[in-house]
Amino acid sequence: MGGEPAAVELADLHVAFGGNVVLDGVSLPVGPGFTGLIGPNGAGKTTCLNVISGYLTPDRGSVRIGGQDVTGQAAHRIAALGVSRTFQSPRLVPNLSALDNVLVGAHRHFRRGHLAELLGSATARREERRQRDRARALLSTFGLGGLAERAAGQFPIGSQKIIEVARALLNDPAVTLLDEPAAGLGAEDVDRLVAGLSQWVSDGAGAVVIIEHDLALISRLCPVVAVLHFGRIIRSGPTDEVLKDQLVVEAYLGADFATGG
Amino acid sequence: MSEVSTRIGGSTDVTTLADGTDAPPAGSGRRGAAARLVGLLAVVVALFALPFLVNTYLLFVVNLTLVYAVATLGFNILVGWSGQIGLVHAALFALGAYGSALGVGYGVPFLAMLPLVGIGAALIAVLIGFPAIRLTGFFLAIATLAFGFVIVEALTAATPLTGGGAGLIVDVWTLPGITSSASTYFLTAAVAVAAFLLARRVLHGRFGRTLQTVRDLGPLAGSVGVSALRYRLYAFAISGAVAAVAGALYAQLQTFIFPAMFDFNLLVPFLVMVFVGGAGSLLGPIVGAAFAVVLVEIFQDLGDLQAIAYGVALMLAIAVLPGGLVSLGAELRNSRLVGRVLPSRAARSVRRGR
Repeated sequence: MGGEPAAVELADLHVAFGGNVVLDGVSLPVGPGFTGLIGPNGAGKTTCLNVISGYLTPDRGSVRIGGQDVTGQAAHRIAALGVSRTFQSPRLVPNLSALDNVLVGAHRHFRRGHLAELLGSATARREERRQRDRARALLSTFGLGGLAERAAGQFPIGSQKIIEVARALLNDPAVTLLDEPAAGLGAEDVDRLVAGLSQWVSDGAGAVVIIEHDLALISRLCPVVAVLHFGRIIRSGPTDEVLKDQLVVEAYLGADFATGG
Repeated sequence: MSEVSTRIGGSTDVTTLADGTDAPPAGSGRRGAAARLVGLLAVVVALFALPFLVNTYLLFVVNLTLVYAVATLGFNILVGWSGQIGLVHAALFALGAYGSALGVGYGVPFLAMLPLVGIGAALIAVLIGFPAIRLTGFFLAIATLAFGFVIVEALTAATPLTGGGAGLIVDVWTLPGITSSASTYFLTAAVAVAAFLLARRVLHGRFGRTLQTVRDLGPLAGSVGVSALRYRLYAFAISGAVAAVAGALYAQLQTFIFPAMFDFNLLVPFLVMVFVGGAGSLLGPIVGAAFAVVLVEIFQDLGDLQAIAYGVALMLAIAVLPGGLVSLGAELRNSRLVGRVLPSRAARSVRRGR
């Protein structure tokens, strides 16, 4: 222990919906860089993200972000601390441009209020321009720079998910939570996503938690991985070791993955 | 699905054409800004030259259109931009009308009453909005409708102050040297131009995109750090303030007001103006207001048919043109029939490889 606090520290999380126990004592420290969160359907992965991002208050246990206890705080307050997330199916404003959708992610960086915006203050305009440039640059790292002005609803789902990731990153998050970012993406979109995310992580020290069923992608991106099974973390550690672990293979992957590599 | 939109929406290779090139959007820039400025100046000049060109009846019609356009601009911020069907707008419009008329009666200058009724209505809208923002859809509509009934009933009941059902005569603010109807018109035009310019700045900026995020993401807007409840309350306050200012101008135009003018029946044209014009569009309220006013003038002698015409217009707008009349151009371009002959801009730009 000691030194830097973990980016995210989950301690003994319990969540039950009625009699249905979804998280049953989840404890997990998340450091900088990519962390994979895998497990069969219904294991509680998305519930985990919902607890971290403030959409669910755990029945027991705590969530610390950068050492600060945020358990039970409202979602927008947690996001304002630098916690971003995406959703399994992308949630964008369809009639706004891709660029404007990404810009929404910068919400916590605006110091000037809407009154300054209404009165056209120079500082407010400068802020807007600065964030707009950042959003444009971010879309370019994901290969969508040339389509920034197109309405988000006109993009195929794969690109919408990438726009959502860019929106999450414009927050400059200390913690980014991605819920199945590659599901429904074509091979090229996955490459674009990986390239953009890798650049983001190598540029800063943010922590990125990825829920994903595509284990090839997890192996490619995440040096560490945690396996959730029936609401418990059954293994966590270096990805190559965990994916070979007999317990994990039996619980989730099936024998063919272990033999196939 | 239409041919063109299949080509755009269905193909996955749209984005592969981008390849990270950062081409600026064509057609915008300095020349576009200059053209917009010239267009705006032309509109302003035309608006302010009108009283010298047309008869009193036509001036009244245009004046009424502008009043409704301002009121609908406010309603649209609540309904179209923030996605809340709050139905207290007609009552706040009434408070603006009564508040300004009564204030002038007590000796406050009308030009001072104009911002005062705006602030007062914003405060009342916040009080109503505070419980209402936690409701959505049907429940929100019913709850706010009830508040509206209470306000209009209160105006009727407060007979010593408001004249009750018998109505109230309004002192009309007049510029020296010109007629009162021209004065009212100039004032309305000035307020309308200012309101739309200010609205354009914030609605096409950060405030507008945040409101739309709250509308489309709901509570999930929290994931980008936006408090959905706070922005819903902002929308209530702003739409209330704009409603009251428009109401004050409406009283000036009508010169005589009574509570029944502002009851539930006024909400119907307001909703028609928002949805027929285009919910969540900046110019929708102007188009919607012009449509509604002209409709009334055309069907003036038909009595009950007027209500039917409203109903049919609302149904057609929602069924055929969900984006309202302002989306007519885009809908036509993307429609199958026209799309074959005249390729849409999006399809053209895809083909060009932008």
